[in-house]
Amino acid sequence: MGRPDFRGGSRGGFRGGRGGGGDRGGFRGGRGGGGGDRGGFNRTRGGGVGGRGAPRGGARGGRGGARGGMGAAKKVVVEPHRHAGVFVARSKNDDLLLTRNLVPGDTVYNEKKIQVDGENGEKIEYRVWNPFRSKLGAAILGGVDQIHIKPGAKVLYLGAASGTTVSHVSDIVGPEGLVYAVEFSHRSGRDLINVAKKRTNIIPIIEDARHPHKYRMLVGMVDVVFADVAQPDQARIVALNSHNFLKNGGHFVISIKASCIDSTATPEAVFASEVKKLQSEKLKPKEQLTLEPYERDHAVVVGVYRPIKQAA
Amino acid sequence: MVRSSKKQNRIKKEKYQSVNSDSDNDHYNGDFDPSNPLAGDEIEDFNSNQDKILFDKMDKKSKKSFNYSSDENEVLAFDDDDDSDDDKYDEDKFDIDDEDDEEDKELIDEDDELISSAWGSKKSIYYSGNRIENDEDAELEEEEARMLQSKMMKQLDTNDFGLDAFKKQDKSLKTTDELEAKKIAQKALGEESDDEMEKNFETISKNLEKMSTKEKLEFLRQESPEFLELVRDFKEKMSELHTTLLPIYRLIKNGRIPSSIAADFIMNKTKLYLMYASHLSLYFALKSQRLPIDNHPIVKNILQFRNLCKQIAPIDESLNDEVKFLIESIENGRQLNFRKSKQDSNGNRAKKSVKFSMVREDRNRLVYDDDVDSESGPEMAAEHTEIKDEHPNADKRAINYEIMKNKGLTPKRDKMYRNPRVRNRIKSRKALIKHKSIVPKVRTQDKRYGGEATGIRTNVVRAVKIK
Amino acid sequence: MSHLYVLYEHASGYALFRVKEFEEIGAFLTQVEQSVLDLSKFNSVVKLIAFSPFVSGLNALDNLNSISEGVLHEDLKLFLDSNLPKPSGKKDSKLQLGVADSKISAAINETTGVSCTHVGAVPEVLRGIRLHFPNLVKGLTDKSQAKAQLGLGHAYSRSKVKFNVNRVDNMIIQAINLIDQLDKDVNTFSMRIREWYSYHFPELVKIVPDNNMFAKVVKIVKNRKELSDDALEHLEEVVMDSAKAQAIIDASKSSMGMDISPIDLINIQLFSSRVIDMFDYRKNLHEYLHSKINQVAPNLSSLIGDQVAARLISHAGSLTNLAKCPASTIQILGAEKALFRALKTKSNTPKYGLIFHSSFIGRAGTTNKGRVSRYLANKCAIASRIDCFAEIPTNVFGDCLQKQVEDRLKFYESGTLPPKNAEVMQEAVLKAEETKNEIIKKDKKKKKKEKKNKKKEEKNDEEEMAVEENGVTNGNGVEEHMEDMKLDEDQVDGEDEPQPKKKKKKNKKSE
Repeated sequence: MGRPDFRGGSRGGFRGGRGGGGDRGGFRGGRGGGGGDRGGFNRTRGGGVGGRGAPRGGARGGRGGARGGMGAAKKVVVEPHRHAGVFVARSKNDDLLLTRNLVPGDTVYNEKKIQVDGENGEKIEYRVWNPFRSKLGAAILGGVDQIHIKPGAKVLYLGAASGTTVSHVSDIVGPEGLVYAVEFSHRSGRDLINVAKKRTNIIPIIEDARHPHKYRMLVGMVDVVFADVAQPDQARIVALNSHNFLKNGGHFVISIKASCIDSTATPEAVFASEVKKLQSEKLKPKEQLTLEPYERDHAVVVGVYRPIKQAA
Repeated sequence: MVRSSKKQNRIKKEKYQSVNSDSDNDHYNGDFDPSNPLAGDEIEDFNSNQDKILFDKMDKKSKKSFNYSSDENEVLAFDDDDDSDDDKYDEDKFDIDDEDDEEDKELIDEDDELISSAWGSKKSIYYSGNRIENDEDAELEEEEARMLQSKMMKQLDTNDFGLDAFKKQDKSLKTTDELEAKKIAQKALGEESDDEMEKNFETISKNLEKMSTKEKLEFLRQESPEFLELVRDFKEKMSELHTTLLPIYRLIKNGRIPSSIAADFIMNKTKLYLMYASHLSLYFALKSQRLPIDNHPIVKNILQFRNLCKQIAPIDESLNDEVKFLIESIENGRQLNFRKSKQDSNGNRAKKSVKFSMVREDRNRLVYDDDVDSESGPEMAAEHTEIKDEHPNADKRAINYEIMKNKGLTPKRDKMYRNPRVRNRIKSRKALIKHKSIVPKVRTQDKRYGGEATGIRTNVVRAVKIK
Repeated sequence: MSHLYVLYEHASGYALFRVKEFEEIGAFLTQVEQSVLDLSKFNSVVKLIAFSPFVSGLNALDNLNSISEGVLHEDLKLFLDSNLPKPSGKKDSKLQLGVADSKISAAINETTGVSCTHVGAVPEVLRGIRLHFPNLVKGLTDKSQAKAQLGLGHAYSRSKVKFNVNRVDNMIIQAINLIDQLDKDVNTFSMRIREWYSYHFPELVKIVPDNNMFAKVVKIVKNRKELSDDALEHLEEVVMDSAKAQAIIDASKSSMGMDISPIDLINIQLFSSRVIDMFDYRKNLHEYLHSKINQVAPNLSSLIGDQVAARLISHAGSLTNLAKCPASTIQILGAEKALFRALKTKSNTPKYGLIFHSSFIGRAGTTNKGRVSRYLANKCAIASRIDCFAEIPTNVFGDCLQKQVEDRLKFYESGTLPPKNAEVMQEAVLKAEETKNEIIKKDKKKKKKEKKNKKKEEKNDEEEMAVEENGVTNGNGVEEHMEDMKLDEDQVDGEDEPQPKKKKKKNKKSE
């Protein structure tokens, strides 16, 4: 266990002398090797950081209107995630999942923003991704292997709702990519249109996803299909849309809600049956991940459509 | 002591040889001289003689001659005439045979008297021991011994008796006559006496003369408060002795009362009181002489006795009733019956309590013998005695839990296995904890999303691969 | 040997492709699949025959609507007619048109008699076309096709959700922000002109306290030395006080101010006219806001007034955000600083925020201010929700709610019991229904009129053309007019369906 003085305020010049030896508690692992200024709270961008020791439950409640873990004046380090286009902010108390804001200064659902200084001195703004409100965010935090949504990709988003996750997908794909957001409800559709007004890489389609031929004029060939429709015939919907719009070797990411498919069966059985359904439709599931601790009885299935056989 | 040195040397040598062979028995041989019991012990003699030499007053000559410690050892050596005498000294040290002349020389000091305590530098004088062969020798020894004793007595002065401490007190309590004499003497000398001392003496003189008995008592109480207390105590103890203890003591002595713990107790108590009384009388004697009593060892003894009395007080109380009864019966001349106390093989009394195991014919009186009821009469008493005989001692142990239950060798089982419901409850709790480590618990977002408190690990993949 | 043609619809227009001849479908499928990845291979399989872009955005939207319903649009029909090869008399050459779904295939079959199919190799081919489309059609890049899709998607979605331009709350937010800024600027400028002119005519500042008046007076007075008594009337108009006007004239004669040159005077004049314009503009903006908010949120504005309502909407971010807020939030909207300070120090939270500026809070007694504020906030919440989610907004509810607040105030003052909420609301609901129906009727009538006018115009144009051609006029014209009227009565729907009418008209014409 580290020396108790370190946990308190003064972190000044002690860090340098510590080297890399197993620091725990308030320290990050293995930063001793990295150079850069260490005085006080000013940290440069560090390299890959290992795991954490002690849990951090800071007293975040009872702060009234003040923001939670990341206060206005706190210093954070932003580093890229394993997935392209996704970032992680690390600070003393909390870590946050971020995407780079396509429209700086604008928030979609009152989420927090983080501004950091970039290399050229310009300010880069990031938006915080809330895993409780976004299944894709929960999947990334849960540890999915590949999301396949990367900068420049074309994504067909079924079940776009009010556009909260769609905005994050739009941030990831960037100005080069496209997001075709399909949503059937009119209420949510209005919000989606408002979001799409600000972000020009979102194409809102207020149409039933069960009939992809109805909006075939609006959609080109896509790289990824993301489905969050919460319907019992979800597999069929995804299959139809994939046959129409998903390129060969393209990928699909489906969020399955067990209680929606079959409320009587156990979640594991439901997920297995869904996987089977997908397999019968030329959709090849590759990995499955449950969304605990953010959602109950939810799973995300990622797979490939018509995999291109590499010539051996 | 004058010895024929050669002879004595020879004797010494022989002694030493005999010492080497069998040391103890020599003491008991014919060599043993009762007048000088330590004479036969050669080694002891030698050692004591060594000491003697060290502590006796030595003149320069003797010092020179008995310069057993060589130049190196002596710390504060001073040599006046050593240079000239060195050769001679060396010869003296190691010359055994030729001793007489030198002996005489050394034995005459400045006053031209024989230094009888100086033995000389000859080794033979020291080593051929105290062999008393004939009466002459014995007489000589005796004479020498007396002389030594008288010498030593002369050296003693009053200080050595250790009465200085007492004498100090005496100084403060000087009589008025003495004080007056001192005063007059001081005045004659023209010295100025201490005002304080005058005052003190004056006040004291006033008090003593003008006080009445009451005032004197007051004064006494102030001076030594414990005195009156002790007097009272003395009176008390004496009266107790006279009235209760001594009669019982006599009875026990006679054998009328059988021996028991209680009887022993009474005997010891009586003895204690008697000794205490004697100490107190000595104390009073010393006080009356106006001797200072504070540091006298007798005070300690008195305190000890008082403590002992205090210690025995509770037992005394418990025995009080019986003692009263005994005294009454003695006065009335009643017949006393005692129960026989059973004795173990060791001869120990089986009964632990301190009681005379008496049979009480009087029913009204509280009988504090354990097994006997107040209502039961003599018949019952007889029965009870039988019963008592069956369970004669409360000291016999009952069987314990192990024997009664007869469980034998069973393994140590945990408390939770006693109740299956509780066991299942504990099992389920543990299983839930284990489950939590595999599958994280679902939490809802009640507070504003503040980030991941436990950090984000980007390199961990928890997705299950599907084949 | 079958000739397979494939129709591909895109946001930019229609495209027709011809698939190379094939014998067996199984082998062909695999061939197509392999070729899909490579453009040149695909080119060998599929060839573009025709492409017709849409004329305008509206046109594209029309086409899209009909496609999504599976109806054959005129443009599509035209396109097919003109580009599909005419079937020759021989029976062996089968012409097949591949389309995406069954509905349209049936429609096309019905109308044109071309045999359509949507199964077999067609989906595969369509996939390939979709993938390579930008490369197949000249003059079309990936970006431009994306743009086309974007525009069309937005248009389509908006039409789907009945996006009403008049009910955009953005205007209100911008307007109220502008009003605030204007106020500040006008104030600054007025101060400036007072200072500036007082160098020349110091006494005027005290006589005319109002900023707007001052600027106007400056414009009239110009150089005080040249001020004559005939300007008195003008001054009186402006100041609306004869005594003041007289005072101005008197002061001008005996003023202590310095003289200024004509050029300076011109500058001051320009500046004063700017200030006056700003004042006028502000007034206009105020009126604009008033009219706008009556369109967007009539209930809210009739309840608390347009200024406060606009501020509330602006503070919340949008009308929907305001509707989502609970009443307690509406109560303290605008006093967040005080609120969080009080929460932190565990003292009393503020009783009112922006809604303080409505007239009700001022009228309430000190003890009742908090109660009235809460009551008002509750009613505001109801009003905002009605405004946000009602299909056709009316201010019926707003008036009823306002009346309720007034009654509550009266109750606090005098003790007269207000009517029960349930009753009031029932009445209001009924009233609202009535007004709604009225409005709907009005709308329909309006639309009909518009259509009539349009048709008349078109008809007139055609008539003119016909006159030029044939010389026949009246009889036909009258008949047609009658027919048109008949048609009008048939249409009950408010929705525009120009196509069938046009069709019918065209049919008529052709007949």
